[in-house]
Amino acid sequence: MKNSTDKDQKSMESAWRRKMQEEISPIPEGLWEKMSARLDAEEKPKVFFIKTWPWAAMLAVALGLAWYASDTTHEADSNVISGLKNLPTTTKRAARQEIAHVRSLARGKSRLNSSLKNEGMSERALVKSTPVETIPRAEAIQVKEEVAIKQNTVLPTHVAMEKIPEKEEVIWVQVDIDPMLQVKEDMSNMAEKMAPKKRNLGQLLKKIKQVIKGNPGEWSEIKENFHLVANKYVQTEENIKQKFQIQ
Amino acid sequence: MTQIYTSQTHERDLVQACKRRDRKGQEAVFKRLAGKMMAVCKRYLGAGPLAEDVFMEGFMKVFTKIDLFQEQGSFEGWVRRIMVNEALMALRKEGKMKFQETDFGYEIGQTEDAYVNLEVEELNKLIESLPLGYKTVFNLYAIEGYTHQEIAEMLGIQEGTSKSQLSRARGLLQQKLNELHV
Repeated sequence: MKNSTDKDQKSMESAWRRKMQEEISPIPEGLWEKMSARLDAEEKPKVFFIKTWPWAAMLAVALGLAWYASDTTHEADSNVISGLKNLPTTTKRAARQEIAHVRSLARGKSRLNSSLKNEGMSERALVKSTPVETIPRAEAIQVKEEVAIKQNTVLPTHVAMEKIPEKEEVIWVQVDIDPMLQVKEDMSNMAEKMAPKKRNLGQLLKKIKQVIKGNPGEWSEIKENFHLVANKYVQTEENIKQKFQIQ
Repeated sequence: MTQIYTSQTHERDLVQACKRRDRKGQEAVFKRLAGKMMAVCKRYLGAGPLAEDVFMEGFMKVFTKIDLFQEQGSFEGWVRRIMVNEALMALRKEGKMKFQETDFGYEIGQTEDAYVNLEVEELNKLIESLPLGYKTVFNLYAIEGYTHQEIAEMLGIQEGTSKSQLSRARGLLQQKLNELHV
């Protein structure tokens, strides 16, 4: 009896199920428009993200590079300043050693016309000492580096000794330069260089902003600026290394 | 070239259109299933703004999670399941989901043909008159076709509770049907 009632119940429910599953309720007006607007709102941020993420990533990298470059140049400049402060004593010592070395070589070589040579050297030194003020810092550093290397080298052979004074003309130039004056020059050069760097960074950021706003024409210029920043960084790093080698 | 979707368009094509985020395809799906899904929402939540909100949330989920549809079963069945789950979640949020253990003491008697031939509106009124716990379990078991085990998992109750709720719902319905046809 119970089984038959259960069966009846189930058959009744399955009949209801068929009816109920086909039931259709009226839909209020404008519901699809609401749905469409919500779907638009849901999808738009993704599209924006997809379109902008490469630009955002590039901007982040550019800012990072710019910050890193400016930071390292600050560090480099402070290192250079501290290095230059120490420079006079070391350069003087090195120069004195070199003078003594050259004099001993000059005495030992009777075949060479030392007096003429010395006159020529001093003349060249005087001539060279004036343009030194205009030469860039990097070149001046290279000259100093040469001195440091020469201090460590073994004394040259008899044949090679004849040629040495010509090379060491450069050393005489170093002696004639007032190191304090050089420091002042370097400081003023640095001050001059720092201002354009900041301006360049500002221009670079402006260009990046323009590219993000949708002006891709500036992109090639930005890439060039990246290269310039990278080159400047490498150059500064080399300069620092050279400074430390001198010390 | 924009594709035109009609009432004759195959369900599979509509699903593909939805997966491509084709707005026309989504609109066709919405218009095809909206009436039925609104009925589902109203059956669980009653006619009101809550049912409409759940309906919208349900369809949003359908369109945003369409990639999860494996195209093995019926698309309508998948959409219906989403609607039911959304409705149950809304009930839980509202804190309305309570299961009465009161036994009305009605025996399930012989069913008559008149009961089977009840109109949908009458059926809806009958089901609507049930307490929420009974109504939910009855809807899930008798109308949607879930098993007691599935219902227990969905509602976070014991399987026995689901069975007792269904039994009491049936008893109460029987009583109401008898009252209707006296």
